[in-house]
Amino acid sequence: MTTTITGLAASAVGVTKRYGTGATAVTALDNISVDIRRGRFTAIMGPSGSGKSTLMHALAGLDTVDSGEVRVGETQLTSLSDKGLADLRRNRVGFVFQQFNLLPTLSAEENIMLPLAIAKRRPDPAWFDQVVGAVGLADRLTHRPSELSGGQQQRVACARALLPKPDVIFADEPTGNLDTRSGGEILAFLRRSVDEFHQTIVMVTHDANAAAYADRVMFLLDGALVHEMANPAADEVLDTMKRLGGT
Amino acid sequence: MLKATLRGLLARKLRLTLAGLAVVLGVMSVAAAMVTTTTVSGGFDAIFATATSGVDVSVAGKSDVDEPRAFTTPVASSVVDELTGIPGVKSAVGEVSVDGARPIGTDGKVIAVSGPPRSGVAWHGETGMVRLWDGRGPTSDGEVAINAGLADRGGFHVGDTIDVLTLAPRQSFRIVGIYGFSNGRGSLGGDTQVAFTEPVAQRLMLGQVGTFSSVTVTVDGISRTELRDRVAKALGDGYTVRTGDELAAATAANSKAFGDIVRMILLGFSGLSLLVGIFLILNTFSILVAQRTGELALLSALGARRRQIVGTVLVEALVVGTVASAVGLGLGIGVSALLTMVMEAQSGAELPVGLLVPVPDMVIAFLIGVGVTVVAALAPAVRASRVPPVTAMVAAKAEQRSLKRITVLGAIPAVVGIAGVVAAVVTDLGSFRWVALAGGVVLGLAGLALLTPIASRTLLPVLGRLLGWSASSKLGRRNAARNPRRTAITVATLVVTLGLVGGVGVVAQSVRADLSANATRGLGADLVISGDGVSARADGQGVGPPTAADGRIMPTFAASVIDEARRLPGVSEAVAQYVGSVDLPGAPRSPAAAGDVRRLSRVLDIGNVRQPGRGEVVVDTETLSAQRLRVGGTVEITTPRAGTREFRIVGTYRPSPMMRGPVFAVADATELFVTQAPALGYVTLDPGADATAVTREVAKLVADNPEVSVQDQTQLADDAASQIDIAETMLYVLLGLSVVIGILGIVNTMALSILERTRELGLLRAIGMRRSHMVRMVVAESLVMAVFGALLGLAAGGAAGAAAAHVLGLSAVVIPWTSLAVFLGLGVAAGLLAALIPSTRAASVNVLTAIAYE
Repeated sequence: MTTTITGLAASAVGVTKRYGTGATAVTALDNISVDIRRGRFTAIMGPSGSGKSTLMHALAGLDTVDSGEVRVGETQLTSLSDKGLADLRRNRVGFVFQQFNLLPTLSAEENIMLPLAIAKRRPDPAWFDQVVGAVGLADRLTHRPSELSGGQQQRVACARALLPKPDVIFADEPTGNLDTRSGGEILAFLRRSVDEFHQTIVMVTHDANAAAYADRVMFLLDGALVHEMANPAADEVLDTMKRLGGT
Repeated sequence: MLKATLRGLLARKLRLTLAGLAVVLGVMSVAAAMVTTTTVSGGFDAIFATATSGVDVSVAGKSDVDEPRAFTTPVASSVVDELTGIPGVKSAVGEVSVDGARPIGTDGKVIAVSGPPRSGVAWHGETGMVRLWDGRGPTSDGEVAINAGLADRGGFHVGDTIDVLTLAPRQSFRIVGIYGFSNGRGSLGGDTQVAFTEPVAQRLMLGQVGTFSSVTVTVDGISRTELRDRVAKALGDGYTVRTGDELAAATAANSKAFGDIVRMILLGFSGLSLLVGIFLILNTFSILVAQRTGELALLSALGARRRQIVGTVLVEALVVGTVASAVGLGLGIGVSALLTMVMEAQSGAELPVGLLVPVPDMVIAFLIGVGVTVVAALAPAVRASRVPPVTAMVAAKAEQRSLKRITVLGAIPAVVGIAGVVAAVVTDLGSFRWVALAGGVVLGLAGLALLTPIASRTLLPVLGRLLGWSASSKLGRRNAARNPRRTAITVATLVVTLGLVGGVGVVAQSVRADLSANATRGLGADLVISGDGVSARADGQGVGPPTAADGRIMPTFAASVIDEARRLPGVSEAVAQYVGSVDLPGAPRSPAAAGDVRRLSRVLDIGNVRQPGRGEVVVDTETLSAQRLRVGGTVEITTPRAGTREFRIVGTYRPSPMMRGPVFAVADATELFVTQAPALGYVTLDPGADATAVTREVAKLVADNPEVSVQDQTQLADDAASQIDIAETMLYVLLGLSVVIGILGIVNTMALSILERTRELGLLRAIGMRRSHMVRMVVAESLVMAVFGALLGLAAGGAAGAAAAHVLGLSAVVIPWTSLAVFLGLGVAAGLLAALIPSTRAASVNVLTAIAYE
């Protein structure tokens, strides 16, 4: 089921999304088509209002689209029920958000295991140890989120996203709330999970330095894909962003 | 500032509605209690005002027994002649109108009326307010007229036969007339009336021909009060002389007992719901304020003073309280209309008034509602004003406060309270035991309330594990344990309610066991013939020998029944016991009995007793020592029929549950007691006799009397135990209503918590929780809280109940495990019910908006 002919982890074909009607209507996505290749780290950039978050939400099955097709692996999302979408998010998609990523009532370990617990799946212990080791949280597993630093909390969220081996992990400004050092650690971990564990990651970001960790950067403007860049460097990204009129 | 407050108020409509609901319920029940009581008593006043409208002055015998509804001494017919001779008297008519004519319906059962009397009267034609609607008045001994109320109730028509139980056994009459009253109604407030010819009424209702229950006097030329004084002076001390108005007021006062019960129940309920309401409002405002800490901090950073911060919250409370109280008043009046209708239908009473709304009481109810809301909002308001602005703005989430102080604060009253209860149970403190028990329970409850947060921390995880292992239920359980204070205040209602339920359950079950054990203690008879409830009639305590103390005429049977029973094959002994109530010096309403004492001593464990002759009594040893009497001496005994007389004490006996107090000769009893026939019969079987067959034969002897039955010892014990069933059920219904408010409390907290946790719910949905998982999670949270509250309440209440049962001196303390399990089940149901709305809300959280939630 996870092996595909196309080699795409996710894709959008001719997707349009509008908010509101009439004069106040805003086109968030304008007939956009993107491919997210398997085993790659893709960054989505663009100024505020460019539609980058909407695109990510559409790809992740969090939001519906007005026209076009969205797939995760081979699964056509537009045909799924709410229950089907929930199961897809649980088993085949992982999330890392900017903030408020963890449940305050659960320990770090319980937070990491939550998606599997909901699915009533037991994790592979060796894989669990590997993931926890990779994020460097082995000695913090029993702590509650309130007892962890922001960077540690975000690493717990990363581990949680990685543990079920999803088709794709979506990260929405994962470093937006962190200091440079903690942010660097998170990005290094994401890079590592692509290189070592062949995980597919899509990250929405403002930050050119963060985008530089990706294999490929897609630039969005007014709901359309306006530029692409492979193996980006931070200053190239920054220049492109300036050209597009945002930071 | 005010403008900002009111804006905020509108923005939080839903949350405030939830808070207001508690106030609405509280005020509603207070208002309903007041309106219903006023309507009922106003209705009775109106009924009795019409009933006595033709009476200027009324003369009745003075009751020697101090008992409101007891039998009054009949007035001799010579008094009527005497009254006619008094100047100013236009007419004097002897009346017979006495409660206790029990008509038997076509189904063979006694027509039951709860509240209004079942009068037997003497027919005097269409005088006063009586109006014939059909037929004519009775002219011979075998004829009666009945009021239309009774005709409707029993489906009787002119020409039918009606059987009536009076002081005499069942007797059949032909209905020759149906009458109503000058106000157009068929009954006086739902009473039933059977009108006999005068001599029959005198014999059946008063037990004596040539006597009246009262004399109605009409006035000529002088004022009513003047006549009253003149009559009172002429007749001397032995009579009660009243004007019509006084009579109406006095009669209405008796019937108000019914209204008082209604008032007590409703006010009890409203007190409870207001108490619960306070918790609910406190809880709601705490959460509201916590959610707005940032907003309030901003106000404070912008220069609002602490007083102004408190002010904003209080203005909110004031608005909520005012609106909710107004709604509550309206609903209360509606409920009261409904309640009055139900009561009229249930009791058969007809209140000739619309709904009476007492305006001052309504104002009080309104003010209570507003006051309670403002007071309950005060504590959260003050707390909010103490938050330093910067802290609040930076850390949006209120920090967890330590539970240490509250735990220490709760431990002190808890320990003192438990010590008090233990002291009451273990040591002999005399009458101080009750003080120790009550004080202990109150202090213990206060302690419990303060200790609930810490208890929730330890108990909730344990309970949660029992309820489910899935990820959703684990999340729910954790959420329940998240804020111990909030959990505690949420479950407070359930704790209080189920505590009361548990306590009542234990006491009731213990009383029941005690009653059934006592009912047959020392009873040597195999069968007991008795009227409904007579065998186990309470003398105010729920236990003790039968008396006529409740004032209603006791069901009796003919003395001949016993003689016939004695002749039945298989019967070795049969004996009758006459039952009455007398006043001993310093001991009013003492039980009294009469019968063949020699035979009675064979079936009751009373020892070897001498048979009293006329003018003699035997008195039980306990009464003897309590009254400082001695055998061979004399005692002055006041009886309903004969006034005060002196009796010689010729012997003594061991008191038994069935017999206590002075025992007379049968010949005396028929002159002294209200009921002149035996109320109890004991039958002993031959060894080896077929019990079922003999029971059937004995039952045949009283088959014509639906009020009297034959019971064996087991039935007798069950019957005794069932006495408290009605009281228990009523209490449960009352408490059930407060469980409803308890559920509301949980709904409220859950709904508010879910609003608070929108982001978190969105996250859960984002990482793949289905809607059904969300529902399960919220249900688990609600369930674990409900079970926690129920267990805590039942345990505390059960313990208090057991202590009370012990202090009451009941023979056994019985824990009704089954009922307690049922109550726990109700707690679970409450939890499920409470989760209904919040869980739907949680399931419908939109992932994207939740994540975008600031």
